Amino acid sequence: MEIYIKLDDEFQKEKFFSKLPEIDIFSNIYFFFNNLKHFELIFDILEKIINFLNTYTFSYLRLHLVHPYKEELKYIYSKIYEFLISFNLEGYKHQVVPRLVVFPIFSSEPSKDILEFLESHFFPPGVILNENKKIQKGFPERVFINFCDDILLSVGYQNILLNLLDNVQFPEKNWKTCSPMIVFEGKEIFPCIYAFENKLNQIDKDLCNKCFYRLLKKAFQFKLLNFQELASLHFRLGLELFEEKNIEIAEKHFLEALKFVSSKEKKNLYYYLGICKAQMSEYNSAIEYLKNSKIFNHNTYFYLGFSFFQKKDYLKAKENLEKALEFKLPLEEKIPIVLYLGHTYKELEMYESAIDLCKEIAEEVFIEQAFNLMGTCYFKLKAYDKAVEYFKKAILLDPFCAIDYANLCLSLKALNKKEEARYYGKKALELDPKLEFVRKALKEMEND
Amino acid sequence: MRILLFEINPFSPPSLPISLGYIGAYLMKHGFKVKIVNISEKGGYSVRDLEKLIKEFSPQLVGFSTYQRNILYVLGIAKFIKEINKDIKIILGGPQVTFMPSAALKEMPMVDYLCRSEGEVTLLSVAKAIAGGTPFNGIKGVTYRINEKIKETERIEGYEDLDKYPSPHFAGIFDYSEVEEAILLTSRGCPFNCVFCYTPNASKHKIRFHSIERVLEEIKWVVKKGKNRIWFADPNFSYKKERVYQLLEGILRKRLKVKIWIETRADLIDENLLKLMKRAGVHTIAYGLESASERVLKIIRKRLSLEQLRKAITLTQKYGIEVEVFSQYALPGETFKEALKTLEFVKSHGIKIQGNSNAQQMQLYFGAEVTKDYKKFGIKPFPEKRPLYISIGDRYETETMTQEEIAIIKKLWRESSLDKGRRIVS
Repeated sequence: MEIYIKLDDEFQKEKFFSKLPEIDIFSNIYFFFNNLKHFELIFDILEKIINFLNTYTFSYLRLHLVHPYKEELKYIYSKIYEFLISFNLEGYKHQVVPRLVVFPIFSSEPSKDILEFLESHFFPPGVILNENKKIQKGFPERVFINFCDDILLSVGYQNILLNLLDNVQFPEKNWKTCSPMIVFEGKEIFPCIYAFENKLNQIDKDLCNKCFYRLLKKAFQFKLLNFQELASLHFRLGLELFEEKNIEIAEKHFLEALKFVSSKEKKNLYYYLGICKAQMSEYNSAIEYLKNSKIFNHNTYFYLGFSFFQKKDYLKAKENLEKALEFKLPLEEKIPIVLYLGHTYKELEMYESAIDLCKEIAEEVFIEQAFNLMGTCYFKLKAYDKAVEYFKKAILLDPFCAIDYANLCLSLKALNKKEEARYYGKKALELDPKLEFVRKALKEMEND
Repeated sequence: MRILLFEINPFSPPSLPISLGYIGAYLMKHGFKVKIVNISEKGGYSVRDLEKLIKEFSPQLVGFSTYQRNILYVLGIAKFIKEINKDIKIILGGPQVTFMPSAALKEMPMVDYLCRSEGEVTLLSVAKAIAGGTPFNGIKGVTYRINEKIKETERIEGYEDLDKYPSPHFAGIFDYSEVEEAILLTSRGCPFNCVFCYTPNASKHKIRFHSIERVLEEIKWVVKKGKNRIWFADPNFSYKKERVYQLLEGILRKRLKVKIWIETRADLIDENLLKLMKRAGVHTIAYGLESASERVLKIIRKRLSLEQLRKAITLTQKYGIEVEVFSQYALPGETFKEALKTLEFVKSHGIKIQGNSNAQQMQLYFGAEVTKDYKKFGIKPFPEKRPLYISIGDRYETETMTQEEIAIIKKLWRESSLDKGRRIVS
């Protein structure tokens, strides 16, 4: 768990102490302060924390003190060292890292002298730089870049990035999670860094997605990650959002990833971008991406066919959807292909082909859209009896579909079964009063 | 009766607590209600959560998997539990405990028993005694304290046929959601004699097996649970080649799509086996290299030549299988130059120095030959007082390497490491 604390005159230490039993037994606590007078508060806090650790001897805490560098720090850290001796000794005896470690992090460049002092006294130091410059030898290993207006945000967001990078290599687990966090500022407690930045008491999944996307964009801008890291994070985030059907933000991640991957890896991204674009009704882009992906599976052909269909290029739609159907697929993946191919046949006036295709699927599963399509095709073929049969079947599966009632009305009218036609026509209008052609048909029957 | 089992690894990512899983499944089979608490570096528990857990689950017996690296935390939680309810009995088991000196119990007032024999049968014996209202009567395989006196009980043997232990996977005792990979065992024990290792003595140099059918069923199960990365935790996975052939062919026959990590000895593989391993999904093989000095390998009784190791590494790489090597420094009789040679050997064989391939200083744990006879092996422990439950570990120098030289080697390995020296399997 990570706890971030703005240490100023407003900080409510009692509130923080009362939370200690509720924080994770292995936690990192970051204190941010600009004025070194707040070291007094740190000594108070240290005492309480030591009491806590002595009571609960299965807990370890890492305290990160983030503050500017001043010369008198050597004296202050010597005093802190006194507090830690018993924990250092306990750790040494048990051959493990001490249960209480203090990490100074300087928000301004420290002297070599203090760095050496800290390293020799078990205070692994860190530093916050204002830009991402090459680190000199002998500089602390732990370097943060101050890429936000607020140092707390800079450190917090960089920890989130590190966590993401740590997790991204494991494909199977729920990797897109931050460590649990709490941020204390004055009287307020926030559930994470993003919530703190935006002064929100709660955070939801959509905000997390927004936060990750923005963070990666900033990471690029401030060179916090290399291209490979950026590409793999954008791609993994995109993929996950794609699977969650959060297509628009998935597409944004894929487009970002595209900037950083090698030409070899681009094909995979084109594939996902093609599907995203098709789902976003940007059919020209979809077709271009899918063709460039050179990945030829049933999805590529389906989304190509789907995009051509939407562009009313029915011949190309037919060609691709037929190819998609050549793959051996489970029923649930076959259904959308059959329906779009069926509609393509209908548009190409290949009514018999559409009917045969739907019949095949109807042997395995009853789908309202398939019966509706069959009814329509029979209607076009003037086989009104059959049309009535299939529209009735469609209505049985979806009794609230106005268009099925409307089609049934027209088919019955064509068979001169006026009374029945009227009944279904009225039903259609009840469900959708905007169906003008039904109103017109009813009027015609009234006039007959 | 309820039994709570703790796995605590404050410095490692979450992994399946396989040993506790076996014990838990066995106790469940005998009618006990068991819960495993797995605490990794990710934490997941606050003081309040632990208090709530103890009060709500209200166990009569709590067991801990104990290692040198976690005993401080184990004793902390044990003390906390006793403060909540002093009647809850605490038992420690695991590698740190099997050969721990009995007198150590005096320094652990919060602990009631030390488990000295096989975990499953020992815990059952203790659990039955507690359930029967006589917690210190007729129990086997433990050390306990009664009226301030320490008593050792008779050893208790585990089953020769490991299939007699119910599968922890089938028992539904694990939460797979937080782990990267499933851990499985096809065997237990080690018949070799490496002086730095506790396992040969703990297993009396014997190796016992699960049937291939059982292992295949377990693989099927974990794959169903969405875990296709498998870590076989056997010390010598390919000890019996014909079994390994059967297992790998079974994986292929059943079309189980798995990615497998194994650990074995360089003299227990050959080209045909590697070919089959690759086909069945073995992505990494970890070999015990220990040292790149023939002389040191002899002293530590590795019974392997550098040539065998070299050949195994090259062959494994030839088949596109990643190689990891376990190596150590500050081994008995090893000189500074020889320790450097190990680092060079690893680098020159194109092995990525990360994870398990980060070398570590030899640790002197209870039960290892080198710990029992450290003087003979030229080990010079630092003159310092340790709790009795802590072994020499890495607090030593040797007759052939000074403390400063050991520190230099450690630094060199760290500098060559791709992940700052973080080892996965300890």
